Amino acid sequence: MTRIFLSILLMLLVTGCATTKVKDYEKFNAAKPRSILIVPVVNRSVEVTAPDYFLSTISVPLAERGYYVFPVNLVKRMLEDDGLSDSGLVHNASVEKLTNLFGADAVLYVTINQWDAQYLVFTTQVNVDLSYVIKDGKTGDTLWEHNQKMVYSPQQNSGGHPLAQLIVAVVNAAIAKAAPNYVPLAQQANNQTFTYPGPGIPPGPYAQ
Amino acid sequence: VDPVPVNIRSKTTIQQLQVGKPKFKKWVNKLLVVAKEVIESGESAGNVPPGIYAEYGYVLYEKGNFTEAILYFNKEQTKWSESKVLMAKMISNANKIAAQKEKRNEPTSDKIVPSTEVTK
Repeated sequence: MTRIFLSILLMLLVTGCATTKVKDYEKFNAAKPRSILIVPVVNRSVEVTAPDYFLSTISVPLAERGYYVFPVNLVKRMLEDDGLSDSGLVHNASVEKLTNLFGADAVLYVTINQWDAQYLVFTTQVNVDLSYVIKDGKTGDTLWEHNQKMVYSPQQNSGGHPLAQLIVAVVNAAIAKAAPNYVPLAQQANNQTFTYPGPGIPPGPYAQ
Repeated sequence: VDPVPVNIRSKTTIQQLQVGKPKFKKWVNKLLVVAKEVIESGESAGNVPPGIYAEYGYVLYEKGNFTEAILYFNKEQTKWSESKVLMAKMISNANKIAAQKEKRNEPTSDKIVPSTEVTK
């Protein structure tokens, strides 16, 4: 009985220590941005197509948090016209310049630090490491930042003959390696990042 | 909608549409269809998401259909006041390009409707 009690106590102590760090929303709440400009993603991974796939998934979670989100394709085109076709240049440009150009309250910068597919015969694991930063358009101060690391394996159907399932798994893994489908992974990473309460941002003016 | 195909994404211009890049044309048409669907379902439910009118207008702009593009840029700024600066710029650009084309007697997809929201 004592042993059970001690093990429960130990579990409580361990889980108690594992609380996640609460973000400081003081600056964010003071700035109260209504609109967020999403600029092209900086890619530090070897996947050439990852930034564009990622960019096509980022608007939805922010809009769902209640913010006006600028149209990403149009923004990209406007930046190109302004000589900022390279995402590195955009990230290094002054925040004030960007927000004046588009009339935005804040800017979201995303960097893909890692995005690689590991082929493990029966499955392909995609490892991602993303950095998100929201900066204030008026002061350039960082209002919120988050680092998201994830491991993703494409889902496989279960059931049927075990050997056939193995063959399916191998084929699926090979396909995932050859032509990885980035969209579900990017959506998953964004949903986790913008969850609130959690690591995400407080509700915006259009939140329901 | 998938992003602009990588090999041509750095040159997403109207000229490209005119000279004819099959992949880009395909992407533009796909975006046009998807954005229209989102607009229609959003309008019937009374909640068109932010940026959708603008994206649709942008595709029309790329296709050289400036009148309709301006119509959708106006819809975006009416629904979302945060988009006013950007939409005013787009309307101004659309009017400028169309006027230049008209001056050179080049055909545009449509005639131009002057907008009251044009930036100086």
